[in-house]
Amino acid sequence: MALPYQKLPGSRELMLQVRALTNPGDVIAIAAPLPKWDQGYAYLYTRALYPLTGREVVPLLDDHDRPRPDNLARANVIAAYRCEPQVSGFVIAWRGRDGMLLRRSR
Amino acid sequence: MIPELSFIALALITGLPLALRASAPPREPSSRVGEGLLIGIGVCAATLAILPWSRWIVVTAIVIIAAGTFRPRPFKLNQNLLLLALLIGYAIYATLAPPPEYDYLTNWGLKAKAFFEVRAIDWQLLGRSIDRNVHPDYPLLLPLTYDFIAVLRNSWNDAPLGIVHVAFAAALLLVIFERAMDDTRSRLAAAFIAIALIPFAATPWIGLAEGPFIAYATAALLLIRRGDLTLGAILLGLSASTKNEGLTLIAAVAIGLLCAGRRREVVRLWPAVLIPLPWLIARSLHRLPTDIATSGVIARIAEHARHPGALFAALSSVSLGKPVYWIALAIGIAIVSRTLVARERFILIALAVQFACYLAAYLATPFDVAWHVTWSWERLVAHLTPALTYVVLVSLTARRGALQPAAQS
Repeated sequence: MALPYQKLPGSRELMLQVRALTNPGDVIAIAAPLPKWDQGYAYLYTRALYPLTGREVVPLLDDHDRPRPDNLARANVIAAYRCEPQVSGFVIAWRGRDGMLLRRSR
Repeated sequence: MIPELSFIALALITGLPLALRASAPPREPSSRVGEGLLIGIGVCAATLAILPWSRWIVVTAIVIIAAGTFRPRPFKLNQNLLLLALLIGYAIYATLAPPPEYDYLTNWGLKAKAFFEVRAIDWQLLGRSIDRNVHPDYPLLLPLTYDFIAVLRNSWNDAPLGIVHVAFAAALLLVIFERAMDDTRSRLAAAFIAIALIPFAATPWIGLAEGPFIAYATAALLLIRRGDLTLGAILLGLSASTKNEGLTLIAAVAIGLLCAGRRREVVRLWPAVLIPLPWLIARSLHRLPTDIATSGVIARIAEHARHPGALFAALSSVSLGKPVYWIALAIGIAIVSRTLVARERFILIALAVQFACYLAAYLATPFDVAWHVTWSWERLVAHLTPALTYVVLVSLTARRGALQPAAQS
């Protein structure tokens, strides 16, 4: 099953860990150091949907590479792939080899 | 693998009696295993649309349906089933790993897994705009089939789900063999035709709806071609419950019948319309969007038709592979063109109309044409090639001598 995730090594393991640490109904924003939708971000986001079923997975970019602050505002969890986003109102809840999970603190 | 094999057994015990009741004579159980399996899979999936997702409830329902339709008939295991041994390699390929296809992860598998987690069709998920590849309007026969297995297992395990695709390929091969037996009256010729069509039935797209759609659509076309209207129409309806392309195929089949001078038979296609109707009503009530039909469809068609260069460039840039096959098919068509025009008008027109619908979808696409063609063209062509190859092979066989194709049109 790692084959569809091979271009972003560790991303599947990260999403499985995020699944284990979250609950159905959580709104999970996907953060990554990939500033363009078609140059990696869509790859990560769309492949996060399957391991994270039951949660609402939202992108932080649209397909025209514009930020989606509305999705960040709705999210109560951020799954961050190989980055450490500093987002006001979120604290690091778990840190792994290929990313981390931030949870809304207020 | 026990839940997967139990699923196939349940599909067969419920589908075979239904296929026998709906089929035209002769009604020999051993010759209807393929149709029975195809219908049974559809019945299993449909139980989840109306019943609670509990193992014992759905198994009881299937057994009741099977018992209600069962009529004692002698069932002889014949050597035709040996054909299925040729799918062993495909079975290993299909179950080597969980389905890795992108469309499985973002559409077919995603829906199945999400539905199983809430033990129901998750209308909230379908109504949410997640990603364009989720396609909330796509019919649910395949996701519900995966869910039926998960319900039997009482947990989600995608590793052996590829067995579903092996079952569809096996069912289609059996249908092809039986139809070829009817057409050629030669076991050898029928076996040759079935073996030649293995690469078309055993699709490489594990986890996607292509294999199931090809099985339903091809079986429906071959049955309707021979006048087995009710059974063919049921399978046609199931094709429309697998992929939206099945809806245009219903229209294509009706036009094919009209053009082949079989006007009176069109009305007998009613099961094909009835079967996908509940899904069409549900998706309309839930306002699930269809990307091709998003606003401005006429303007898009007009725009793409005014500048067809992009579409032609995209079509010519996508390789369909199998060059030897295409050359052989072209030579075959050239050799038997008169026979095809005289005897196979129904299927040729149905396939041509379906092909035209696919091109029209590209004209109406709201996406970049090149992107749309790149990611779908090979699969769309694969919908049409098995039936076309079948009629060419049958006509070539007839040309070889004493064998006579028995197509109605």
